[in-house]
Amino acid sequence: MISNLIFSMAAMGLFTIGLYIVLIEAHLLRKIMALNIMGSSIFLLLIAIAARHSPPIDPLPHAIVLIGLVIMVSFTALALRLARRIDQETGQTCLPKDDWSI
Amino acid sequence: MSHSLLTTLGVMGNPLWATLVIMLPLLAAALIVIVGHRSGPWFALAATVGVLVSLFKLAESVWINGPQEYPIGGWNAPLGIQWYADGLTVLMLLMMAIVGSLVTGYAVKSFRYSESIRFKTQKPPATPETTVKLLPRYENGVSHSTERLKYPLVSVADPPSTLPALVEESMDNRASSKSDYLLFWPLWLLLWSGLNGLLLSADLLNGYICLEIVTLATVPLLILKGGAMALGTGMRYLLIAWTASLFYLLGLVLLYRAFGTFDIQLLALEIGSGPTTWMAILLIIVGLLIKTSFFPFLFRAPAPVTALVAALVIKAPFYLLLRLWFEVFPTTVLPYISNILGALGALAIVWGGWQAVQQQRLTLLIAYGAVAQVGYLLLLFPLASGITDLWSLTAWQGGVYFAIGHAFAIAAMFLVADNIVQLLGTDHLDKLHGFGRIDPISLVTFALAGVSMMGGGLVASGLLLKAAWISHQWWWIGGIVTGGGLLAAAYVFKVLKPAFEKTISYQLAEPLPLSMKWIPLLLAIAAIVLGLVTTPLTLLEIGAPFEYEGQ
Repeated sequence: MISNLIFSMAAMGLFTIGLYIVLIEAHLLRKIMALNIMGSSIFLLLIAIAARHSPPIDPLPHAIVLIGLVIMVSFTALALRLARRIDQETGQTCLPKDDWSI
Repeated sequence: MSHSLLTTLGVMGNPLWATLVIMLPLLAAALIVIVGHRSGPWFALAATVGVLVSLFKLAESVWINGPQEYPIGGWNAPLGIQWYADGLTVLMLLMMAIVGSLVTGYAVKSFRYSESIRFKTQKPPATPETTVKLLPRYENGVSHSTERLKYPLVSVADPPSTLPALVEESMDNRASSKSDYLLFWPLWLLLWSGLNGLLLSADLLNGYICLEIVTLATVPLLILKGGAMALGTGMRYLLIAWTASLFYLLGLVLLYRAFGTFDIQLLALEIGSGPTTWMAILLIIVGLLIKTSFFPFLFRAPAPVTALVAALVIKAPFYLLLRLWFEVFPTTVLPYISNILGALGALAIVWGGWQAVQQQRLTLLIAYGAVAQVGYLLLLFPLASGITDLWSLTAWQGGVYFAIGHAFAIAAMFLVADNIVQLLGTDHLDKLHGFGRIDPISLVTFALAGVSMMGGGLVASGLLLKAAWISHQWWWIGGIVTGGGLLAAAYVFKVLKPAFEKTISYQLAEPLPLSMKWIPLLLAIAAIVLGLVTTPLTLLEIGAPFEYEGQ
């Protein structure tokens, strides 16, 4: 069905865009948002999967989306707090350069 | 239509011991938060004892009855989550428990020691070689300061008042509150519980969740030291681990799309080749490999944390990869990918060993050496992927046995390297002269751990070499294993040679407490013993995905 196809392709597109941003962007907040986009794209794919045999909707992917949401929220909270701490300690919002000193 | 090897279905047993193995550390972590953080080490001790007893019982039941299956809550797969314990599971659980308890035993004294070294101020020596280097202040509304006063190492003839010290004032100036790292204990217990849950799970989504628990517990452990460097390490680890998890999850979702289940055994029955399977396998392997190969640089995190991450946390995604490779992935796909994994492993061994030999600093040397050791883990896959051949069985045993011995050896290596650098105040190799006279136990530990890194445990690398030889197509892996051993010998001897000399050129900062000296030695001895003893291998046979003679 066409909406299934559109959701799946959009999900994969979002995943790729998110991955690109995580690798390229230096700003921590953007990396975190990109990872959220990647996570949400997987949830979108799961919703599309739930409707693959159309009349009886498969409830299991919905449960998996909920699990994934909890995990994503936890990770985002930790990452945001870490980014805030990095900003407080170094005054910058990118990953601190490591000079291999002990 | 299934192309993969069907796993041995387990016997339904008493789930008490498996449950205790996962729940005891979790309960202890919760109780620490309730009772107060000062009780951390005591609850950790109680949890360790409880888990070791439960593991003994679990190993006994697996040994007597064969692989165990526990449908949690009485609900079977595909909707319910199942736990599965066979020989591999029990061996890895034991590895996590023993290495974990030894490293956390080391941690008890180590935190206090390292903080006393960091914040001990000495009167500067009145010699012209004194250098004082101040890093710039960061203006951010709040005045932070990092000051690093580095004293040159003075000769032994000087009076004790000119003892060298590495003084570093932390950003927040909260020296005394950090000296215990009290948050280490609940975080470690959470990490341990997640690792145990991962090892016991027979459902891939449960594996994903436990993998996330492990990551969420590891990141705060990495930033315990505070300061920009530790925060940077923690953030890097978080970002990379999160990305890798998303790869793994996407692969799982694709598998679900095609075959409708997450359970390992059901998936093994249902799976077939096809573009979806290829893509899912690619994503899962990439995600798990990234997680297996990322561990923090020494001194960014407290030494026990570095040891735990490099020895144990790395084995969790590796275990998932083992389970998926040998029990789920269809055997038509394996030979192509196994070449790639073997090449990656060989590259890691050669490149890591080569870089390690060229280093002038101990911490970088150990880091590159550890990278090379992870390469050995990957060599298991090409050697063992011909599932029905005899040499595959040998290779599988050798690879798993190597992974277990590697945990002990790497933990010992990281702990003793930290000991050495704490004692000396520097990690340059040319300051190591005569170290053996100052702390012979640490030197012996380093030598033993180095022997393990050279050989990868005699039994394990013997099995790998045998497998490589018997299977005529993988002879180059035998060459890589031998070459890697030679390179490891080179960089280990590079450290040992000055340490064995007789003349000392400096004085210690402060002698190490006993546990900090003896626990890494225990770990290193255990690594050597595991390289010589073959009894655990018989436990490995239970539930192994290969045909054994007479089974």
